[in-house]
Amino acid sequence: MAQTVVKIENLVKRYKDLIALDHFNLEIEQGEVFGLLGPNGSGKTTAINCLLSLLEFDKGNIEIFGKEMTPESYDIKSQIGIVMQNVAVFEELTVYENIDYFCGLYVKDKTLRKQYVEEAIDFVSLRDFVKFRPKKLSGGLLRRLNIACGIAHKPKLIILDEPTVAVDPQSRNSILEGIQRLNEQGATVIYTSHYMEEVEQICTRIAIIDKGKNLAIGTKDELKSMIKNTETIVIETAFADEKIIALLREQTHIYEVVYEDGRLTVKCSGGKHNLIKVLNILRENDIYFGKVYSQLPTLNDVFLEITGKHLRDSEA
Amino acid sequence: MFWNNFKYGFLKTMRQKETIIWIILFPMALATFFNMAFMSIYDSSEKFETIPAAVAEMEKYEAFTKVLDEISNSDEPLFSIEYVTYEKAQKMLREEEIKVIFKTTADDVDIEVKNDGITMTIASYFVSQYKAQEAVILDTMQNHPEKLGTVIETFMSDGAELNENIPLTSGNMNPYIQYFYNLLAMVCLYSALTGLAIATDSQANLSPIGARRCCSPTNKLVSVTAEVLAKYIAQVLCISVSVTYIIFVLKVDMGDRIHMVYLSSAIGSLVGITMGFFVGSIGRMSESVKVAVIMTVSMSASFLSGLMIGNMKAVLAKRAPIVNELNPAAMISDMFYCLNIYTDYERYTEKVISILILSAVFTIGGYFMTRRKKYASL
Repeated sequence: MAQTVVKIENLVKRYKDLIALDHFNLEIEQGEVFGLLGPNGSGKTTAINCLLSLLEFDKGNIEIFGKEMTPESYDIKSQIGIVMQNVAVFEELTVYENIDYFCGLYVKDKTLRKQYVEEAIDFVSLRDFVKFRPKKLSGGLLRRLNIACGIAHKPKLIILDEPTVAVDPQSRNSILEGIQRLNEQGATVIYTSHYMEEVEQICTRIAIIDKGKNLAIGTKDELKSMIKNTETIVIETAFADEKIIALLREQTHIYEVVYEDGRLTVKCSGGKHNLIKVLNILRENDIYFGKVYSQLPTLNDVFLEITGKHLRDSEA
Repeated sequence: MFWNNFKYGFLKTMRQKETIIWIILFPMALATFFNMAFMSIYDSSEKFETIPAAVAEMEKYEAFTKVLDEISNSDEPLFSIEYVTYEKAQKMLREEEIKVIFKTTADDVDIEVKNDGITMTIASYFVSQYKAQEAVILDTMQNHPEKLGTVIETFMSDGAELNENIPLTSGNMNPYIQYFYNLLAMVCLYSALTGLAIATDSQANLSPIGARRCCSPTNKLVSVTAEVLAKYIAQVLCISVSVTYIIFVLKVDMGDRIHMVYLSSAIGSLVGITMGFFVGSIGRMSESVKVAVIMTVSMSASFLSGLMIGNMKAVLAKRAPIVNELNPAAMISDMFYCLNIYTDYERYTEKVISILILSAVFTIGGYFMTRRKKYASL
């Protein structure tokens, strides 16, 4: 049985009248890439800051590696790597010096530290930029430096708080691949994001958070199986009257039909060959159509159904 | 961990543009300007010799005036004396015919000068020495008349030493030298910008770097102490460059104890760094607000110590002496002044102690505020 790396029980954090975390629970096991998915302001970063013992909280317990986490838990801290949402490096130091400095906060041995720093540089592919100061790096390279500073000391638990914000797609892929490699090397990873695709791509388990509450936890397939929607069919057509919409709604496994802006959206729950059934009904009623799409549920559908809102819509 | 923080703390400071500009380039430029503007004025017209003084007798204070007369009739008189009415004396002071008024009552003397710290120091010292000796003689007359002769004899032999204790010629009597003192004081206070960075970079609620450091297993006290030390040493090196430029390139005479000028700059930098650390540790104001606070405090303190208006400190000494007592810029410039004027270290030591106390208050306050390990909000 895998060891529990992080255990959060009944965590409550208030900012005056605002409840940022409302009896929040979480358990993460060794070797997982655990995704915390939620819109801005949902409580992801607050949960991470409480976990790291940076933030005071009103109620609850936090254990990391089976021990209570406190600000003085230096033995636990030495095994954690943190990559913050905001880039946290020194402008006056070069790439190499920044990594060496932050690694030096964890690793005393000079020889070992040198080796770790070199490995971190190669890991984030910054070999050609070691003598550069941060302001000469592009946004993507800067993010990579930020990651290198957080993971150079080879932590067992790595926390990445939205590390790909404002990063170009190429660098984003590079960062995500890097996180998967860290996991393959044995690190447990906690990854917070409001980008569903990223979470879906790299996380072995996901928690959906909103308003400080943990609404659902599971693998992406488990989460998708929790919701009613199993297939969404979108058909481009110039005409769809109330009669055809009503006819479609009468079909087994179809629970929602909407016609808007020349697009007929049909949502299905279970059943097989739903697309063929729908297209047959349209043909029989002389409804001509153009492009047809069939989509399996996404995490956004999961989020929509669980929270009643779109993930991206709720940012702002 | 300590060495790692120290090494990179030092490197960061030496590479900060702000440090180079405010601690080295700016004072060099200003010192060059001061040198061009003021030093020739003194050489041509204001070298100190005898101080012209007026005695305005509101009431007769014969013992004192006799001593003054003796002094003014000596071979190298400290004062040249003229007896006039108080109104006339004030007019003469306004018109700069005299530099000091001794206004006597039956048993006391008031001093009035016009915008001249050195004259004020000499006159005050003279009067305070006189009053001290008079008190001893009166006490001896009343309580131990048999020892009066011995006491007077002792004072007479000390009288020579009294004159030697005010080094009228060995120090630089140029009143414009105070601008350089105040300039160095201002540079010392600008060290606060470096101190501010220590606080900002060590607190999770003030910067992402602070948050990252708080997540590390390095004890905050260790990392902050290492940074304070590293940045202080870097700061001292930078200010030493400015001092070297002023003394050896501009050839400004700051007395014959040059090593002490360097030491005083180092002591002054300490109050600057710790002040910045203290301000940086206060509350959750943004860094730019804190920089504004530091610049305002530094500039105001420098203004009050006489950086822009030379006689400001003398005016405050008369009207609100507490301001000078609390003003770190005044304390620092006074250190340089004491080094230049007095051969002994008594007053200098007093200033150093005041600065060290102020630095200790800032340091303890800063540590107290940054010691927290968890924050209510980030």
